[in-house]
Amino acid sequence: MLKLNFAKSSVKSLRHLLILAIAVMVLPACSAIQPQEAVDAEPPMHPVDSIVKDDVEYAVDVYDPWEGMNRNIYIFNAELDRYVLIPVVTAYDDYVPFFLRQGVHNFFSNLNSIGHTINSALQLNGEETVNNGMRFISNTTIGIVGVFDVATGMGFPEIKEDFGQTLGYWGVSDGPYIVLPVLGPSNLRDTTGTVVDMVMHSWYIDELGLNGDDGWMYFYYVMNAIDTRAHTPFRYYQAGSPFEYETIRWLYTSARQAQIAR
Amino acid sequence: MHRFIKIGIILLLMNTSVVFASATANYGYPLENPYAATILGTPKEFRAELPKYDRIPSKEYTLEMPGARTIPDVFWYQRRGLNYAVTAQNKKAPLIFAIAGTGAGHRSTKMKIFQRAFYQAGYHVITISSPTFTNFMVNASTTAIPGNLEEDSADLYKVMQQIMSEHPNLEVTDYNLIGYSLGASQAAFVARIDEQEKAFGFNKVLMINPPLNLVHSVKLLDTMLTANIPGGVDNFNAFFKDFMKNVTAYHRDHQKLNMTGVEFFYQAYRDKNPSDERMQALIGIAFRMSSSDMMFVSDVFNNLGYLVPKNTPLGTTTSLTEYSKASRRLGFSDYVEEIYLPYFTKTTGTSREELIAQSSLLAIKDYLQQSDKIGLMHNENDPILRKGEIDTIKSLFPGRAMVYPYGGHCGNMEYKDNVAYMVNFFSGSEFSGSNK
Repeated sequence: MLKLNFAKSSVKSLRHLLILAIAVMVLPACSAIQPQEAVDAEPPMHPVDSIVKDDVEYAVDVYDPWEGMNRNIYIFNAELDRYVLIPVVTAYDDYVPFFLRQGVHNFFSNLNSIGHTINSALQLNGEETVNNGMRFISNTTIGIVGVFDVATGMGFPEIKEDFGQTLGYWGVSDGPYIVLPVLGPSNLRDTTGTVVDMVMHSWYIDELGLNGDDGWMYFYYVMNAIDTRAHTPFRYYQAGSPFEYETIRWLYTSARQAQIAR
Repeated sequence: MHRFIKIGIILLLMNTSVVFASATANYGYPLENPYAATILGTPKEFRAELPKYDRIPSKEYTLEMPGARTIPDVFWYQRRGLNYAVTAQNKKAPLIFAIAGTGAGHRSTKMKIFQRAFYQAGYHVITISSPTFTNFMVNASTTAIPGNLEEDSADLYKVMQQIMSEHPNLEVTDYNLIGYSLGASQAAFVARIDEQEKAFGFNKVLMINPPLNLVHSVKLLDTMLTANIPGGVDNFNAFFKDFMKNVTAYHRDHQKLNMTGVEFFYQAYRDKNPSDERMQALIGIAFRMSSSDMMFVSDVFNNLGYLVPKNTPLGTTTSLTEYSKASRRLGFSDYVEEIYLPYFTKTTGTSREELIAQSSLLAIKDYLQQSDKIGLMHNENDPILRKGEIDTIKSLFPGRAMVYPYGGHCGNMEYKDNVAYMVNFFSGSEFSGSNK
């Protein structure tokens, strides 16, 4: 939905996006619903406080002051996935031939390497900047506007760097955990990063002359969204864990820390 | 997610003493270390050539078992029913039911190996989650207190019949059964039930890496976690951070090679030779995550008052963080001692010792020894077995046991020789069990 809002025209969509992003951030901080004790509660065989210790660091503990809202958005995302995104992606996989899907994927991934290059540079990483820059140049030219990925074979693999990582590199800490509508797990630092990356994206598609009328822009962002979902193997509630929210929160946070440390 | 965690967890990377030795026997599976094999599975170049998962017509379904069940709000997403998949040939063909291992769903990587291998070999394949998997527990289990081979297998048997009634157009020549790990033990019990009830008349049954005794194996797996985190489980966070630091450093140094997934971890394993202790800890972590999920679901679904006080209302958005911390500290052995055994001694009047004996393949020793239709594929160095248990297992399958020198716990399932053996077991007119 974020991206659909974004599609009208770059400027207008940007405004929508910012409003949405701000709305997400300043929504009344609703803390999580803590389990309530039953009226006639007899203590369980292993009360939680007899196991969980105050002086132990738990990997699963992530700063999540808006947990109640986040859990609601998590459920919203899972339902959106189930009723809209997965059926669309399934149809896309079933009816669009592989070479075309691959071409679409390469095309978007090539455009994203502009952002990766900029962010590598902002993190003062010369080697990665050259890698990502060379990747964009070779795929855009030899790879015919990015439809073919020739760069990986030439020794320039995709090395993703986004503005959230750049902020992290310069010492900005995670901030509160946030589940973004549609986009999923994030935190305050990475949400800021996502907004900046989107602004950059809209700027360089303008510069590259890829902008067009409303119809084209809708098509562009819808294809981008479908391609992104098609390349994200995660499926809600498939692991069967009652602690999926906690586990995703933990793994997202750890994975981002690792990407920033990289 | 567990697969991701397993892979994520996989990488330890420290200096160690384990030497990477190449295979010496004529068996070419490359990982002789049982823990590495269990974690890494089969590296790409050693895998059987199978169609990619998205190239086979696997269709997902959900099943509502007869009888009303009240699924608590906190498990709202389980209300859609029991998930399973059918990969059908477009003509009349033999059918194979596959049963997943402890804590695994019907879409686990190993189940996909079955789907890909047997679809290619001309079978209809139906994949079913383990009765220890939460989706099965709340939708299809009689008690949602899994671990009783007899009862869980009876539940599986009912599910199989219900599934067949949902697919009247599937043309089947004969029925077969395969399972790995705990699913292998259940396959044997299901086949035994079918001897009486005769709904399917199974043609052949293959058991891959079953435990001899579930309770023994569970204790070994619990200890892999508790004995191998330096400073004890309270130091898990430090252990995990250290692990991530090493993975990140290794990745940074090798990102130009553009390796992904298992390839990356296999390379890292070969370069870094992690210690057995670290690898055992990782296996223990993956096992603990699925077993504590199971325990929590059993507790809440049955209102047992084990970790969650009885009648505690848990809603769709209630925070479960504190419960997750507490459940991860309780092992499968705690579940066996404090939930499973007390419940079944009380409801069936069977003694504790008898119940433990019933969780063993020895409980159906005569049936296994006399049933020519049942085969075994196992590994000499499976780390979920106590010393000597592999020999006892072999004795249950006279002339029908294929035991490979290594492969750990199910690590070699995708290795080309193993896949060939599996497929040949069902399709070949004769099969020659031997110790390789």
